[in-house]
Amino acid sequence: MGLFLTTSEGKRATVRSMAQAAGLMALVLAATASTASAESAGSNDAATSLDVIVKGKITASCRLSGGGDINFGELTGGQQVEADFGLACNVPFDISFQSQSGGLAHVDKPRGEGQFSGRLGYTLNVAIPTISPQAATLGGTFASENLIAKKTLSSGEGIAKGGGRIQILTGRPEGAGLLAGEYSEVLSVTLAPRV
Amino acid sequence: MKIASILAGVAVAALTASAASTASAQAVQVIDKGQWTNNFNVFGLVVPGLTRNVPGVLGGTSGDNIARSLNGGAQQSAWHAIGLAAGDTETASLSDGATFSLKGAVSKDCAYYSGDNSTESFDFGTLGIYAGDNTGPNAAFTMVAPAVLTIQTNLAGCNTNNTVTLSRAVADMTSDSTSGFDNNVFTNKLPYSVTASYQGASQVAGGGAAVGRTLTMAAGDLNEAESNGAWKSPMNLTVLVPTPSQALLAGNYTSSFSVLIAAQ
Repeated sequence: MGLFLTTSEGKRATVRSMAQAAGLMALVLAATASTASAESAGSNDAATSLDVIVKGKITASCRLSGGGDINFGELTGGQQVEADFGLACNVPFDISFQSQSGGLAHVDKPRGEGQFSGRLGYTLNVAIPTISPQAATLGGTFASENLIAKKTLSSGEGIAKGGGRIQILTGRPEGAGLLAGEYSEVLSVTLAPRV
Repeated sequence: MKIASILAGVAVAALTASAASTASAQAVQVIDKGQWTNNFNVFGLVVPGLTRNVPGVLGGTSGDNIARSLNGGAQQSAWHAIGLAAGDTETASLSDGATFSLKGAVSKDCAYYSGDNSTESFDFGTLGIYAGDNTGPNAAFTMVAPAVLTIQTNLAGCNTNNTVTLSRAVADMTSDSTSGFDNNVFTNKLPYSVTASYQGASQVAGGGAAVGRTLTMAAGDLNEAESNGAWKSPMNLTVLVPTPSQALLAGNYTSSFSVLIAAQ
C-alpha cells in the first residue's frame, strides 16, 4: 500500500540542479523522507520512497542605471566623450539604443540654414562586458543617423558582468560648417531580459 | 500511483507558491501543506480511511496536523510541510532604461578675410584729367575716365542670421585743397558708389539655396544694409568713381568706407 511509507531504505537525499530554463533558475531537491509507518495486511512493499520536489525560482531582473547630461561645450568636431552605465541583469538580455535626432541637432534650426548645417553626427561605440561563463565583450558601433531606428545588441547566452560604457565621437561639420546656436540630442538606452 | 498523486500535489503547491512571486516583491512566502489519513478502528482492526488535505474543511488545521505528523504512536498517518522563504527585497524589474542627454553649442562667428589687418588703403594715384591746352574748355581739368577698384576676398560670411552693412562717414571722396574755386565749373568732391556682391541666404528656418546678393551704397548714401541667414561665399567689393561733370580741383581726394558683417 503506497499510502504508507517504510523506513526500509533509510534516509537518502540527492540534489539535482535543473538547467536554467526560460530564464528561470529552478532548483529541484529530491529526497526520501523517513516516516514511521505500519504496513497493513495485504499491501506489503519491499521498498518504498517519497520524492519531495522543492522548487523555487529567481525572478528575472534587469536594471540599468546611469545616464545624465553630457555637455560637449563648443562643438568643433572630432570630440570624444565616454560615459559608464550600470547594468545588472541575471539573464541574457537585449540592449537597445535609439537617437532622438540622429545627431546633435540645432535647437531651433535642425535643418540648418543656407550652407550651414544644423546637425552634427556622431559615432556611438558600445562595450558591455559579459559572462557566459567565459568573459566576453558585447560591442557595437553605430552612426548616429542610423540610430533614429532603434538598434539592438543581444548578449547571446551571456549575462551582464556589471556595467557598460558608451563612447561618443562627434564627426566633422559638413559643408560650410555648423550654424551657430545650441545643439542637443537624446540617446535612449533600453534594457530587456530575454526570457 | 498514490505516491505519484502526492508528488503531483506537492509540485503543484510549489509552483503555485512561486507563481505568486513573479511580479512584485513579497516579504515572506509560506508553504503550509499536509495530509493525513482518517484511519479508524473496528474491533481492534485499523481500517485505512480517506486522505484529508490540510489545511481544509475536512482536513482541519495545520497545527493539528503538525502535531499528528509528529506523533509516532498515532492511529492516523500524517505528514505536514512547513516552509518559509523570503521574497525579493524589491520589485524585480523586467526592463529598464537610461537616457543620455547630449548638449553642445556653436558660437556665433562672422568672417571677412582681409589678411592680418582690418584696414587697407588703396591709392588710385593720379586721377587723370584733361590737362592739355588743346583739350578745349569743356573738357579741360575734367576727369578723363571713371576710376574703378575691385576688392575680392574668398572668405566672407556668418554662421547665423546677420546683417551686411556698407557705410561711410562722408559720402564723397573729398579734396584736401584749400584753394578757392568757382563751384559752377569745379568741384572738390568725387561722389562714388560701393557695391558688395556675394552669395547670401534667406533667414527662413530650415535653410535653402544660396541667394545672390548685390548690395549697393549709391553715390551720396552714407550706408546700406542687407539681412541674411547664415552664408559663406567669396565677396566682391566694387568701388566706382564716375567722372563728374565739373572739373577737378588739384589736390588729394580721399575717402573711406567700411564693410561690416555682424551677427544679429
